[in-house]
Amino acid sequence: MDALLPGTHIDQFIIKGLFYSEGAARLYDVESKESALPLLMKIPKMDPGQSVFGLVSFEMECAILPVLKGPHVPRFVSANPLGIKPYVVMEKVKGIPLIKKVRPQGLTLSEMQEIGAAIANAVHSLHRQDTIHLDIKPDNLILTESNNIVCVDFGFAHHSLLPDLFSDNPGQAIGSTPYMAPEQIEQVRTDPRSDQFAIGVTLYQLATGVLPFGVPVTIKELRQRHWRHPIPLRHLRPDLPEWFQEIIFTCLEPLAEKRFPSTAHLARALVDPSVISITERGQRTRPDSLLQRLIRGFRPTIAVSKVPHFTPSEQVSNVPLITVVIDVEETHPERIKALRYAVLRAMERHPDSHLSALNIIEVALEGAQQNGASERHHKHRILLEHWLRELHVPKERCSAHVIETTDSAQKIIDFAKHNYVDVIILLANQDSNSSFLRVNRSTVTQLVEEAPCSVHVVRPAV
Amino acid sequence: MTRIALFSDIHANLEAFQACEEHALHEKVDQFAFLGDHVGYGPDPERILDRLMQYQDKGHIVLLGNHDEACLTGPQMMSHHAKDAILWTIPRLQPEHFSFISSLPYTHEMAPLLLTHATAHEPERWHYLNTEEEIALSFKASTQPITLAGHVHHQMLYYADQQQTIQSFQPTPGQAIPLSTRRRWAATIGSLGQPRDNNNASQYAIFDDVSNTLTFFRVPYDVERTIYKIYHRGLPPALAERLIKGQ
Repeated sequence: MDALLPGTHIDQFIIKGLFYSEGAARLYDVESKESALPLLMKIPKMDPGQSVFGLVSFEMECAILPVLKGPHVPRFVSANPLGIKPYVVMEKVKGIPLIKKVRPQGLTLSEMQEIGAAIANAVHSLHRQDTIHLDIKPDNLILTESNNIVCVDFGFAHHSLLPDLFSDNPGQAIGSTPYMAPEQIEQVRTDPRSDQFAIGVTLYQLATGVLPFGVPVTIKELRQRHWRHPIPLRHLRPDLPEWFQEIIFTCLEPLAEKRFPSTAHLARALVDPSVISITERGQRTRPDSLLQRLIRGFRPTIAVSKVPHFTPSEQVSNVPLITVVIDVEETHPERIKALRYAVLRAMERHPDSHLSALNIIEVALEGAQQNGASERHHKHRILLEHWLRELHVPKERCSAHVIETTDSAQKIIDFAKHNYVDVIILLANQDSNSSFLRVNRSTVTQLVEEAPCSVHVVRPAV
Repeated sequence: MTRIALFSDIHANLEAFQACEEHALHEKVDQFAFLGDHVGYGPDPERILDRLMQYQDKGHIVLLGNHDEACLTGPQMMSHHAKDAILWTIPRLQPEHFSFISSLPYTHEMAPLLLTHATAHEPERWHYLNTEEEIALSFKASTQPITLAGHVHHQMLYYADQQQTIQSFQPTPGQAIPLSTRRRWAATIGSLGQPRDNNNASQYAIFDDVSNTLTFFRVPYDVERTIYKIYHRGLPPALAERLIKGQ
């Protein structure tokens, strides 16, 4: 079937031109009197001989796109999956696909940190909506002007509250082969950590311009990622630090349980690499020798992590990012004890959680150099790190942040928003005569009302 | 645009009926379809049939179920408690109730739906739409892509995959599920008056013919009141016990 000509009417939409043609579908720029947004219409190719997957993935996209919300997905406008010419219309996202950022010399470390965290946060937002994308790759990630990532093409996605039309494909792995997680090859479609593997491949590609596992064609080649180490990033890019390789190779672990507990944890690690413990993964600089490859490839184990019983949103909420707001000048022992217990209880309940300890210093003017400001900042950091040490939580499970601001509540809210924090824990206001002014009544009230997550206000028992 | 509320297996449970009716109206339905087994087990057969007669007069769809048919033919091939409940029900019904029941059809077609109490294949034989074989036979028997049924007292969605094998999906209440008519679907919408999945909240579903979505619902109701009536109107006490346990 030929591409549609400009001016063709389909229901209330008018075709402006062909935007893109991919394997199974064509995307057209369209306009409609009912929408001022720039729009794209996706029409599956229905030619004889076209793979049935194309139509099934179109059905999946028509089912999933309307239920997704937020800044990391194109806004759904309309769909007519049953017409003679079935279509789905969505917002045309302004930005560039990340594939255009892939170049032989790779991106700079800071670019990769920023883009990597944005991808991880975007994917985490999907997981929170019970959706696993299962086709994360640079072509399907749009970088907007505001450095936000928008995920497109939900044709292979899984939504745990909707029937999975790909659930029974014996012997057939669904996804893009270079980016597919090992468990996806074994037809597991319910583990959100599969997307993390694809993010790892994407970041490796952005760093080096090459794919860590090449472009496999046969199932035997595909399964090599179960046992084969990719060429170390630092062999190809010696300028990259060990922690960056540690992060990417954690994402590329063949067993999902060895990756980060959630993509929000991955984003945190990229933003704050001080929490990363470097292992042999990060230190590798030489590709495996032929002998090593032969040994590992001889009767390799094709193991897959246990299939999760929970929905993606339940799985990611079981590995929360916890933020505690600490006043390092707090002296009341009962209050200190109550806050510490609350934090410990939350972390014990969720063994794979991560704790960010925030200390807010209120200043008159943000960014202004005040006398003694740097010394005060340093002193607060020492006190904050001491507070964390006394919790006896492993270093890689917590991080300390001293923030100077004119608006405490807004800063905490922004921190929670940007880092996909699941719960904020802070002390309740003491009586009005107290010197406890860092987190005053209006701050607590504003946090409870406006924070994008749960807020646990701790008050010691009288 | 039509939003159709699908009520099945009311089983003479007035409290559950009223709760689901209120819920469905709040969900802005324009039409009701009652998929059979309006009586049996529960303590309010006359009042339920009166309500359904009013609904039918207004153009809503009412189908026949095996417990309704048993009121005409006498209980046959029924469990002990089901039989006792039918024998308790029959003397309470008026001639207009029998006449109403005898007028009810087994199936109703309204593209893209085929509505039935049991199955699309031999609906009068009261097969259960919960095996691969029965679902495949229903797909073959129906010209409509979507078959919606009751009779099973569980909420479940079935569909044919690319190999035409039957897949099942346990729906989550409140989640609208798009049913592409490019493939075959079958659903059992559960029992409004006697759920049997260890949860006594009523089961029903809404089909939206614009978005082609099916949404399953669970609605809590005053089960204690229904149980009180079962005990005090002389129905077998075991029926009250299974109602509260949702069994």
